[in-house]
Amino acid sequence: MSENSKREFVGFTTVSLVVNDEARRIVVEPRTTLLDALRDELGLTGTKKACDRGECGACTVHIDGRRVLSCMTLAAMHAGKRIATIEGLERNGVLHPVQTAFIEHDGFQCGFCTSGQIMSAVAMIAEAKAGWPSAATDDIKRQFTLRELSKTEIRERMSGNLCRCACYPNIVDAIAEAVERG
Amino acid sequence: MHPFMLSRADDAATAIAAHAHDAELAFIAGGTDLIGLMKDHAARPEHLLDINSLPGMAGIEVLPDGGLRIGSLTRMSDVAADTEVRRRFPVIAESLLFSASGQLRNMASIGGNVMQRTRCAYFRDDDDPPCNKRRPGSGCSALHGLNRNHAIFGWSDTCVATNPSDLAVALAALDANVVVRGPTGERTIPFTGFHRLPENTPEGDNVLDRGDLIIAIEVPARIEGHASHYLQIRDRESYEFALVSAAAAVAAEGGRLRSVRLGLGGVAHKPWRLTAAETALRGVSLDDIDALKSAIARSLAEARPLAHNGFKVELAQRVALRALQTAGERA
Amino acid sequence: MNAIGQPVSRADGRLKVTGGAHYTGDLPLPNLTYGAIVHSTVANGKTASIDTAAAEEAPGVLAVFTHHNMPRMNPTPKPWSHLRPHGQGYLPLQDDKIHYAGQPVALVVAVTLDQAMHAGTLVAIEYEVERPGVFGPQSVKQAIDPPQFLWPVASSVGDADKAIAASAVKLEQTYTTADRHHNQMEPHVATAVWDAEEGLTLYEATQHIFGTKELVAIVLGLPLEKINVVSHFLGGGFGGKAYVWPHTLLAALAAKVLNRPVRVQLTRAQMYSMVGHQAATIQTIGLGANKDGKLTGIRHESISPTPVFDSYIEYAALAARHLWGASGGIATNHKVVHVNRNTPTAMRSPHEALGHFALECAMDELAYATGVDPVALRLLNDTEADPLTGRPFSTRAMRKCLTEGAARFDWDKRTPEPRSMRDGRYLIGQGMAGAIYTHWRWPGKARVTVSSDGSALVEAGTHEIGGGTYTVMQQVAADMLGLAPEKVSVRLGDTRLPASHPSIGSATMANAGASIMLAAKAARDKAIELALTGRDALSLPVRLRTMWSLLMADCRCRDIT
Repeated sequence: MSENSKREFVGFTTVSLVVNDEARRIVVEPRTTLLDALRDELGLTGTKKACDRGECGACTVHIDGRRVLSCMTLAAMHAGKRIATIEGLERNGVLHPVQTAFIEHDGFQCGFCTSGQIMSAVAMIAEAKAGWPSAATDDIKRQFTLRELSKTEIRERMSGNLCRCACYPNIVDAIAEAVERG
Repeated sequence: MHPFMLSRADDAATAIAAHAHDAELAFIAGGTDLIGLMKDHAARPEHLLDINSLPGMAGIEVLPDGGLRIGSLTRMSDVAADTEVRRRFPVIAESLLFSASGQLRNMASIGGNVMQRTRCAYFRDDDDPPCNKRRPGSGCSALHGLNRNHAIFGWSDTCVATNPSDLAVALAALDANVVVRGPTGERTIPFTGFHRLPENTPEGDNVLDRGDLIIAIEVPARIEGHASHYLQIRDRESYEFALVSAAAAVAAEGGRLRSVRLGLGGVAHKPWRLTAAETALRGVSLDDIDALKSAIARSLAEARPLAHNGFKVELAQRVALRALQTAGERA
Repeated sequence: MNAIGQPVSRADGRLKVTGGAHYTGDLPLPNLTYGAIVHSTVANGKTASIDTAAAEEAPGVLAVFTHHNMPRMNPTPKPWSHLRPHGQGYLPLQDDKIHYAGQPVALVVAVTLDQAMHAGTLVAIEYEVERPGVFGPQSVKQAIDPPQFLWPVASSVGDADKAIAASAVKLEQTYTTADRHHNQMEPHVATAVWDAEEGLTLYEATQHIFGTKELVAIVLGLPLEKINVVSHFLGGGFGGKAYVWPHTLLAALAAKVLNRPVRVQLTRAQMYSMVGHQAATIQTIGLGANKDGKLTGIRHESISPTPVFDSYIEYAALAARHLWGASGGIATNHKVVHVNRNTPTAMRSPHEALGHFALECAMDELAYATGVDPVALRLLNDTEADPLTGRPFSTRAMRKCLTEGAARFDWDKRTPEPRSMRDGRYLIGQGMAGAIYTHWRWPGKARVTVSSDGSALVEAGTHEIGGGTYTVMQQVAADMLGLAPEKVSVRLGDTRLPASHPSIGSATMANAGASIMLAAKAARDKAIELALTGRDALSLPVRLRTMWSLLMADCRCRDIT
């Protein structure tokens, strides 16, 4: 019986998941959040604990391609899933276009929210490409297309990511440019 | 968090039996409310049962009558993005899009959303101030405390908290049904009867018993469905719970209302249907602002504001009116 | 081409967008343990009993500290000084008193954070409760005169009251501001590591490594050479991480007792009580003016809360000392009310910024009372000399700001009647206010090393709190040395580096930057001298190359010195 198919556990147990395209095994308790597992077990400290209550977005990672808050989910519930963190975004030393745009538009100051902003933005763009509307969309009955991703739309869709240095205008500019570049 | 056991269920019957037999067991789907409650020590289940693998509970189906069946494990973002939901019941999609944040909508299930607990700051305070919902019999700190975000309808001296779900307001307005399976079988609960008023037992948010599992939400076809709108007014422009919200769904002919469904959020322990207003609005022209206002006012006459939330009465009047007008434009 | 003035990307940009910048809570340390603070749930009284038995037996727990067993700390030094700034004078876990809700009453240290936090919930505390003092409208009557904290408490030039009483136009208003919390994205965190030889290394989320070092040395009774403080990247400061707070002292002593590294990171909720915030104020402004708007008198008073154990003053009324001139007199005063809260601290922007809000609102009211345009009113009352001392300002760009701002924002198209301007279905409001900010000067040191491979290293004990210090220091040194910025590395955030000043008051560029500029100039001059005097260690090609690039630098540098 593989460790992942354990039906129940109480104390520490080993869970396998795929993190940044690598098979990893982590030793966690049921109560260990995905955030704590990534940071403490795997040393992937790019993802930050800022509020630990799902209110700020600094802990945003991707699970099977979707943006989620790693502080609000348990590591052990994601056995076998594909997790992507900020560390895995660049490929062979080449930055993701969103990362490049953030540098070029100075989309950060202290940088503590930045990992979450970028991970959220990358997935948000995919959601927009898939035609998802938002609360800022005028007519949700129509199909939504990427070229309608205005700055107002970006702001609404990124509202789950806080920045206390108030880099919002530059963050929105960075994302808008990344969208435009395709 | 406190230490607990985590297990996973593969079929509904096992999950239901486990929940019925163990009062310390809680279902976990998206976990976005439960984990927050656990971190704040407002919930301390000893055993979490992961229900995400239960078959047949995710997905959206168009029903023969043109309504929708939404599996309880479907994620908020998938429901909000679904073209059938957006076409047939825009108020549902909008209520979801106004909720939470993009990340949370990807994680949270529909079933969990209608189960989510109040945001009352006293209830969620880790320092455990008097709160009859959290600790029955200890008192209500909000009644004479800071109650700006609290109820104006249906409250009792034991609890003045509000239900925080936007989706619930839309579902109540549409008279949806909750499909529940329990130890003795499957039943359907009208959505307007799903959430409770606090009365003397505010620790109970809804009418579910131990062992009950929400399987799906069914929204029957409604003539008002496609001409519907959700409007939420809150302190921030996005990612904030409602001060007051309204779900409106109308059927109109020649600019005159034939039938109206109107519900408010942020004002009570459950979504608040404005039934008196709905009756009074029949036959009223969408251009007759004064008549619209006075019809809505019939339901607001019974409002009982608290020391800090009197503004909600006027705000409710305006939010209901605006939602009604927008829904009317879609008719 | 100069690096200064170019729109360069941040030197730490790649690190920050790839998760590669290590903040205090990210640093991996062998044998690390985690501390969780238990806080009081009452605001005033004492702990009658603290039962730690269940917590001590919880899985993974290494120790539970309370006032019964926490080692003794030395009192914080008086008077308060920016050189060794304590956040609050009341030290944690030293007695059974409770002075504010959210006060630390126990520290649990365990192998994992989950274990520590859960064990914290098992600590059983019984309180003797007393009624707490709170800040509110009633505080006006309770306010007392405080001893001086940073600046003189009161000031008076001329006779403001007499001038106001005799004025054609008189105005008195009360303005209030609420508590504000920094809520940096990065919670406060300290990791303490002891070593038999080196002493204490404190990895601290701080914008004041040297002040932290000095204060912790005093309170823990350590010689200065036995403590170092490290802060390479700060996830937001805003003034809230400039002083030393309880979690730092608790982490240090717990690590000493256990002889293992201890990390104490505050939860978001603890940020509201365990570190400072900006105090609320109740401010009264009295203005007297002629009918043409010329000020004759200003009275500015501010009341703010302070804890029962400290006397912190939020110097809001500083604003009136320097902002506008008044022909008859200006009087300012500060009072405090002791309440059961923790100690406030500087929050961007502190002190006079709060006072500007009140004073400028009053000036706006004066504009309406006199019918004088708000911009014209400010221009009329601008002053070339400091109203408090009479000395001329070395620079004061107020007139230019007002005139240029009015032009850029089409002020002449503004109509003053409320609700008189529209854009479609939107009502448009347009207003203005003036503000000045003090320019801070601090001593600081820096070291610049030029290597024979044509690279340079800048070292200064300053901080990167988001303002771009790594980048700016690189630009300054690069220009001074005539090197491409990529050839210049910057090290900061470590008390083993040359001592610099706190990164507060928007002073880092001007001050640490100045010391780096001077160090780079000295290094450059020395390198030129070495090249010209033909030391054996340098080969001819290198000497020629070095001489050429340094002479080029000398030409360029004349632009910036």
